Amino acid sequence: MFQYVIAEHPFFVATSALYAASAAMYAVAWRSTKELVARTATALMCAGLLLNLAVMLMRWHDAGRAPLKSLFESLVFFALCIAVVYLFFERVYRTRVFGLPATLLALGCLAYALAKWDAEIVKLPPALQSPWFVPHVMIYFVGYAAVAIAFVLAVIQLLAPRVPLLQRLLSARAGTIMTGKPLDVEMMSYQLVRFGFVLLTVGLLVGSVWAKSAWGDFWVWDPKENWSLVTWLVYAGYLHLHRVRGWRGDKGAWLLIVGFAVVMFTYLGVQSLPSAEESAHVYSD
Amino acid sequence: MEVITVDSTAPSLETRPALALSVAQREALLTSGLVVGAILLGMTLQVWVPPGGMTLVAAAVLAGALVVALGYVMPGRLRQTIAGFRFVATLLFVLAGIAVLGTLIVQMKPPGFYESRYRGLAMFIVGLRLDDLFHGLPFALLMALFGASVIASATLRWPPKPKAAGFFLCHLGLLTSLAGASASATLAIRGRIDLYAGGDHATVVRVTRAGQPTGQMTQLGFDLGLDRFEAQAYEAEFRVGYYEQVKLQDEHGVHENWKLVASFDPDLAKHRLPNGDSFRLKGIYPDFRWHGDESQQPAAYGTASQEWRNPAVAIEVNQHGLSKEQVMVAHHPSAFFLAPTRALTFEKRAEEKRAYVSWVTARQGSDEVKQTIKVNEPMSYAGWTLYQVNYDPKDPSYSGLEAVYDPGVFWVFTGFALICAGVLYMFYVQPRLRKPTHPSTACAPA
Repeated sequence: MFQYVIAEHPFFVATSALYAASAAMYAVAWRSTKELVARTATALMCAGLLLNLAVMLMRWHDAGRAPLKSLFESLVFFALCIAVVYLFFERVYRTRVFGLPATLLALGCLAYALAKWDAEIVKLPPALQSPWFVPHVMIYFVGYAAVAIAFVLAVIQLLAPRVPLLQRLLSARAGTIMTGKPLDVEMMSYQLVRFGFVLLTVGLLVGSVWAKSAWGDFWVWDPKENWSLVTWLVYAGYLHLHRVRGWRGDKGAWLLIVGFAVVMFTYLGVQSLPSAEESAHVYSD
Repeated sequence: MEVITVDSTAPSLETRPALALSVAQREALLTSGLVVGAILLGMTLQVWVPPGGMTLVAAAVLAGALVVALGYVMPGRLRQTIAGFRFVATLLFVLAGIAVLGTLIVQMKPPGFYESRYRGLAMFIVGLRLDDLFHGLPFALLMALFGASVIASATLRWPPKPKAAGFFLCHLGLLTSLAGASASATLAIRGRIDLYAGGDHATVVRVTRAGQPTGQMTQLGFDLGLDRFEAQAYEAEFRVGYYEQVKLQDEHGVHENWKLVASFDPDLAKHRLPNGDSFRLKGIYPDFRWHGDESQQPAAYGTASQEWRNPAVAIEVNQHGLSKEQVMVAHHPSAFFLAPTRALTFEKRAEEKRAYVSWVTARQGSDEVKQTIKVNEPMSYAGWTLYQVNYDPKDPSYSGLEAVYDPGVFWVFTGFALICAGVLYMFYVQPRLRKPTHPSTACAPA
């Protein structure tokens, strides 16, 4: 299979290779004090992102539709969204500490896409031929990418007191921090969730408007709808609890981990539910 | 979230943490009592009150109004509690739990379905009305608490200030959507219209609930005729398909099946196969013809035209350094076996539907409207919206339409717009309106 992918889909392989190289450089940047190493990691991530975009655009051209229909296509797009959101995050917070887990997440998406490889490009069925399709999916995946990186931050926040390496990385001494100030991981994950929550809200409501125009009902308690609502409710709960005394720190971080688990189940696990048989929402194998 | 100033768990006296803890504990207790009480009360009452749209709306409105009123008249911190972050968060998590349960138990099916599907648990599911969770009283009472919480938190922040505009927009949007959804749940009518092309007419709708016919009919108020129906397919495409034999398990046991693993457009490039072999098409013949006898050596063949009438390919497969050639005609599928469990074919792709189109005429008195209805392109007429939802592959003249009369949907979508505007304002406009704070207080670690 690997030989086939290399020969037939070289851009996909090159994208994965660039993300892998970027991950390696981000890992080296944890140890190295040379800025060039960290800059190279970012440059490789940018190159990977551009190639990932090229893969998407070529698929769009070949399919004659947005490449967001199958699980494989959505995974490739998810990797792109993670890279975009991470690079935006890196720019805003001026830190490269989280580059390694972010690139590994993007790489993980591509690896899973390899396991869920499409035998062929399928046509868009009538139900998906809607002007709402592309904005709905794109908004959701950018939101998913934001909460995915918030999840990474939550894990690091929980592990940092127990792992000296992480503790050192989050301090001002680490060469990957461009501001020269220690990082407030909790604040960063909170702001990522706020950003993601806006998108999850808009995505949910856009999906509802689309459902109305396609099937005549804005909400039918379909399992995918329900789990999207669960995702929204969990992150809405997190944002409310962030204001409650005693719910910051580890408890908040655990909530973000639960939230991302719910996101992943909404994305990949819904088809295993007994109620999914009649759903028009789940990805087919 | 920065707008919000009421933190129901904040200590009333900063220097007396013991008292603050007591307030927080009391609020936590009240929160648990209200939420658990709503669920238990709902479960008890629904022994006598069956689930349904009217049950949901009536119970939610009445109970919500009661809780809001009690918040004003009862001594203690009821109003502060239900307006507080802890209460809302608890409610959100409980609603999430119910939404999850609603996906573990298939909803709104006849009792017989649960007996065959869930066996011993069926009695429990039907008895506790877990088969219609989202129209039952426990859910209604939780929605009542949610509505009361939204109203209580808004009244505690009244009058609105510019920096709280996001909060008010968002919560007004929630209430507007809930009001619209209530109108939909109680007043909306939906049902099916089955028509056959060639002038078949309908003036009534067969009313359905959760997709199942209720046996009721309702007047459309106009005459709807189906002039023509088409299930349009995408243009036929051909492929070189690489198949592998896989084991499949279904209700009849484990059996072997051929699974498409990779597909290649017919072109003259060399391609690598997933098993490591390679192939290339030496020739592509859209309108394939044998010249002379099929058995003559070397075989002579070609294309009679460039029309894709009888497409075929001459394929050269390279396995372990050895080349083999074969002609494959799409309309007479034959396989090139690479191994007993791997094969290449040249074939027509399965037909994929591009659109289902109904050409309809709606007549009301002297008014006549001709329009097409497609999936995602419904037709609105005389208060009804008509959706393309069904077709019959065995009867190309049949078209299944869904007719929906829903007076609440405008308010639902208005609420959605307000929620989006409110959330965006709250998170991205409002922080810019705030006076800069000291970094150590703005991002205080937990």
